[in-house]
Amino acid sequence: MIEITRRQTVGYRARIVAYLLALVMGFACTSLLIWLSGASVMEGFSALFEGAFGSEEAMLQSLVAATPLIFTGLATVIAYRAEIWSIGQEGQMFAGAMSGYFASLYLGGAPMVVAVPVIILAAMIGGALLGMLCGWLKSRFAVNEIISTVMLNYVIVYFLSYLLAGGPWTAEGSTSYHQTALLADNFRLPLIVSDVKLHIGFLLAILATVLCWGILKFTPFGFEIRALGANPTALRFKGVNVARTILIVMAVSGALSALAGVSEIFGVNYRLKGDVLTGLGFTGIIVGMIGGLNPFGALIAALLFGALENGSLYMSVLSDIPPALVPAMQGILLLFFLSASVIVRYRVRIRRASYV
Amino acid sequence: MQKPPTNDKTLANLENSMNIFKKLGSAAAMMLLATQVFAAEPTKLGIGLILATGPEAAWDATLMRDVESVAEAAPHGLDISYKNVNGVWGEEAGDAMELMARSGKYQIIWAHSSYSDQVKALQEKYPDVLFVVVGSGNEGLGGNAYWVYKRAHEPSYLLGVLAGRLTESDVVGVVGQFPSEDVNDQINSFFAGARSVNSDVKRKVAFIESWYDPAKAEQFTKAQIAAGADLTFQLVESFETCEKEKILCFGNYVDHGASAPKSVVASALISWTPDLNWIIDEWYDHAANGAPYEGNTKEHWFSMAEGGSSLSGYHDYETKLPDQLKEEIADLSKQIETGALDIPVNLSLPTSD
Repeated sequence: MIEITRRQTVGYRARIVAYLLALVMGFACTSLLIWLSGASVMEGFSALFEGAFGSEEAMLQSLVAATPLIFTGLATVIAYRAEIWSIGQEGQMFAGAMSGYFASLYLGGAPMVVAVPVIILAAMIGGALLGMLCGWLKSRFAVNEIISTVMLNYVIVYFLSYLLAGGPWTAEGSTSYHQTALLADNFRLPLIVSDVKLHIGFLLAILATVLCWGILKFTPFGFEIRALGANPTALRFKGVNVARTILIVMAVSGALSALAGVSEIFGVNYRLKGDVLTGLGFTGIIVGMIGGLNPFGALIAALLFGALENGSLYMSVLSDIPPALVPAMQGILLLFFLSASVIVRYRVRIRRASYV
Repeated sequence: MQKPPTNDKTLANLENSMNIFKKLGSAAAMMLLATQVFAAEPTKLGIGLILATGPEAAWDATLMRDVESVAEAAPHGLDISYKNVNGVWGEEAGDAMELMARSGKYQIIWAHSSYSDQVKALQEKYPDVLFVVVGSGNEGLGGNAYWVYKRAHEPSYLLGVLAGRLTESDVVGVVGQFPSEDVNDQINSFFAGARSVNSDVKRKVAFIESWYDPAKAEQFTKAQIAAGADLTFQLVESFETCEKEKILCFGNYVDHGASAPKSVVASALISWTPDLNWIIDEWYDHAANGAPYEGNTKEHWFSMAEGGSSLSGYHDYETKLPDQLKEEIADLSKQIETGALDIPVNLSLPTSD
């Protein structure tokens, strides 16, 4: 008989060892695939390393790629610690980018010091409102948050489509496509390193990580979040307004996801279009889970994903590895990471069945 | 005072000798120059392909197929190699292009979608690299950035005529990717063709909001069938659904009749060969003769008559379709190719009736 029980506590050493083992085993399997394809394993991994950490430029590019994932990873941490299984990070990220863009339409020639904070604030409000809608549906009508968030992901993407496909936000002067016009310079997030577009969104992501950690660990609200996840009935008996807590959790999660949208559109691509955002919200869920639903864990996981993404790009361009193998390699590593995250949280025992 | 005759003769001989040396020198210089010019003629060409999806999507698969066939044809005697980077968008695509340009292995970087923002940031930094952007959502940058466009509205019109003749419910559907100009033109032409032979045709239009998503494609196709469509033009390649639901479908970009013979009547095909040859000629002229790049700033596309698009064969439907209908399509096809029938490009957003 196979018995699966949740571990009460997991030490950091155990987590680190598990993930390192996952990394090693993932690379071992990938090496086998590369070798079977006839390409050079050394050349492939050399390119991967070069892209991930091989130079200052590559490392900075990895940080750029990691930035939105830190936000969506943190959004996952906040919601899932309260055991609210939101899949809405994707839609909330779109909502944030759209709200930020909407605000920019009214900012005209405002200086950057005014425009950028207003855009960030508007984006956070947009994401928070969408998150709160799901929270309200859950607390008021007991609508399962998985269903409501997934449905709203569709709704928001199609709303953006309406706005961009010949709608009021369609770029003028170019052939019609699913995108807005280029953003004016004063709306763009200031760059920390201009050559690789490392923008202040990265610093905000670090700040958000520290804040989330502090809130979860030291504040009464953080306690409520954790208690909501552990035992909502006990929380209710303690006199806490659970419905209000759910709303706030979803608002915070939505606002964090929204920052991912702002950082990608206003910090990197400078044009609102759907295809540059697609998938970042869903990847954030994986990042949050691999990070053990800990803010710093999510930060590390996002940095790893950013490095892997940039390394994979270098691998695609600079090595002779067949292009189809690169996403396969990412998938294999992801599977090992997810397996490690399950193993560190659950104990699997095989026992003899008792018939007494 | 006169110079002594002996000295004059010596000088004359000396001048003659100098002239001979000069002529020999000039000839040698000419030969050297000719050798250098000959040496400057390129013999190899590397093409880097930046793809938004990869070979699983017909848009990208057709390009890879045609690059291979052009490489085999070896225009200008070039030894052509290529490398594709799949599934990259936005800044990541820009990074991939820069890595390719920096490596020096790729003289042409063909960015197979809306990447002009990224090319704009690179084109001055790498002036000898010829950049290509493809389709809608781009701006004409000029210089070393060329803009290839693909219109398949002409074969789509022919598919529409087939649909108009074959539908029994008079409800015809199209499932498209994004509502962009080079998608809208096909859908509008398809319905124009259908209504040219059957004015009762009702339109069902849906977009999956992705360039490639088989799951969504299936959902939207099923929704159209539920809404009464007995024929769909599949821009999103959900032919399994057509087979399962036993409806007639039309394929796009590649000939899907071979993979789904029970449901696919015909497909609107595209070919990148004329575009590739045009771009390679431009690059060669620059590399061999020093001609400056003159990238186009307006959309440039090759028509059906020029080999840019075509209608596939009917596969299993060759024997099932009435001869009269096949003759009608062949006649219309000929009219389009000769210019007797002009299919207007309609870019407006297609909607359901």
